Amino acid sequence: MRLAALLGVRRPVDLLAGMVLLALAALIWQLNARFPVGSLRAMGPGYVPRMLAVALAAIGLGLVIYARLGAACAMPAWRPRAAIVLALAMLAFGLLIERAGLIVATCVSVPLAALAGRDSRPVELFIFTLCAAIVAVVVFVWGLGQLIPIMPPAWTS
Amino acid sequence: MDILSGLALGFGAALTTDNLLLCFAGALVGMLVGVLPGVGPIATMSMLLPLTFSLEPLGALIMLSGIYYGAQYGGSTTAILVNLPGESSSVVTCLDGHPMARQGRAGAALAVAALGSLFAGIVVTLITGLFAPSLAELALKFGAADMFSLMVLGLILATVLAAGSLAKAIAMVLLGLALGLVGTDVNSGAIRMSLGLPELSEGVPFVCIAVGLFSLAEIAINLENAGSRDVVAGRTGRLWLTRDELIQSTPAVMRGTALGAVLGIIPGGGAMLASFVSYIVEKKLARDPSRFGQGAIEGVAGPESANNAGAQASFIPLLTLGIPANAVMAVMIGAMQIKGIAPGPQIIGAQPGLFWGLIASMLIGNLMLVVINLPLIGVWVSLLRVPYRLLFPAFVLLCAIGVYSVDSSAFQVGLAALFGIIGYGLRKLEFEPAPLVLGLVLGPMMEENLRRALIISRGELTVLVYEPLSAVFLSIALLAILTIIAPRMRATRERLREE
Repeated sequence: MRLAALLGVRRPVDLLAGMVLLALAALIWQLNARFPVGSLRAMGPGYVPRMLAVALAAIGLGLVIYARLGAACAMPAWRPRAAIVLALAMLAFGLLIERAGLIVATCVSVPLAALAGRDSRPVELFIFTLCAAIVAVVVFVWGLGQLIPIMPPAWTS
Repeated sequence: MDILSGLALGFGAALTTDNLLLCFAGALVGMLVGVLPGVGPIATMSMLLPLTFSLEPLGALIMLSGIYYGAQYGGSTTAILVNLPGESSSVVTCLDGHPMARQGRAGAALAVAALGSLFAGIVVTLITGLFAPSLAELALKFGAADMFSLMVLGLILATVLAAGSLAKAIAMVLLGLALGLVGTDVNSGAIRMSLGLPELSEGVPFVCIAVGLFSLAEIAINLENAGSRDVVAGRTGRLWLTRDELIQSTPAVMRGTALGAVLGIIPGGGAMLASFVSYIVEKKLARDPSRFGQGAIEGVAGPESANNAGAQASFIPLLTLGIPANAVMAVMIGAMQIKGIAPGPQIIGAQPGLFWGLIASMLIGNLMLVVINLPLIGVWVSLLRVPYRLLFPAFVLLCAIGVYSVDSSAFQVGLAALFGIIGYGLRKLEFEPAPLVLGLVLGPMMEENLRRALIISRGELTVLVYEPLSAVFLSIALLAILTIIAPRMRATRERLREE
């Protein structure tokens, strides 16, 4: 963000936020470009999306300008590791649930999620994961009767 | 229908074994999760939302509201004992609640919070029962233009009163509106912004957005700023109030309730604004304001009553107008829509059993909460000792199972994960996710009303200003924006001049 300071940007967060909005506006416009706009009397499916894209772009532009004029404020530290690891844990669950069942999915995604923290203790985590798998089966499948495969479907068929 | 026969109908619907159980389960589970630091009502509700999907509509709403006020109560317990607010509306409770706990008066603080909340909850629920039906009847006469402008007003107020930058909040609303457009357009049949994915042809599932933006992103942010916790669990002290404490706190509870009832109705107000204002009022009225921050019981009694009153009052715009006053109510609307209930002024008239059943269950639920909270305080305290390193993987698992069970769709679990990352990025860019969900749930309704208004007026946009009610709503919205922007612009201008 030194570069930002060199360019006279006082609020790097707002610069980035504004650019993200501009990009999103462009994306929304692009995705709806093939839909007719229609008229005010009979709005086409492209009318509202384009309106939104223009408004978002305007705010994005405003933020980019404000980033140079507003009261200076530093960029907060980004430590996206936790967010990414948590998302991966969810993703693993999603990929495994239908192929390997709830028990396997739990035993993979819980330890994976735990990696997002900084202080994980292997033995404790191991016991906790097993408990979580049991509780998940008992509460969600047997208790609440939700249709979730417990074991790999290949085994039961 | 008058309130007595309404309540009779409602209690008839709410006092079935199933619904009582759901009310209890919701309150208990809500408190269980809400008591954990760093997990507020929205995160709790999003996480537990899928549990309610297999229920019939009234049962689902009863359980969800139970989860909501359970989480709210749980948040206050945490604020008092741990000095770590689970959510923004408990921030104020920390100020005097935690000092009280340190002085060994945690019991008194917890008792006054619970009793104040109970009083506020019951009063505001009765107010809802008294006035909501006539308000809804009034709203039924609104034309499409009026409804559109009212929703604009609601969104503007919600963004103006929200924390942080106004421009960014509006951007989030717009983004929410855009997300709401994804999928098949009812009027033309065009499938918009689905990226060619058949899973998105009916729109982005609400659960994925709620779980991702609120639960997952919240956990990620918590992990990022993991701080130390200071649990006061040695002695909670007597779980009752002395005569002096009772005399001191009673007027504060009354004032808090009144403030909460009024401020809670305003979109964007809700529980947080009410508790802040109540604290300021109590401090102003106190004979010795210096006690505040040192464990003044009014500083707990007032805001706690206000925040529960506000939480209950925010159901009023939801049930009478179909407009969510805050993100929690947006989650509520999302749940209603999934259950096939179209939120709006017609609900009370068309489904009196649903409305009055919910009102009755709120009365029952508030009572249940006191029963769950106070005697079991030891359980909640021991729950606070469970280390976060074990809690959050459990939350992630809960999110994953919950999202999957809605539609048995692995795709949606992945989508929720994606929204978790998006949510983290948005927070880091100082975008609040709350206005986004408001826009998301209001978007389709606004588009529909605007289209209808324009068809009636033959394409004249001026209909929005010529319809008197609509004009009033829009001018209030404009006024609200100006009052916020003007001082800020002046400040920026002066700062620039100084440089």
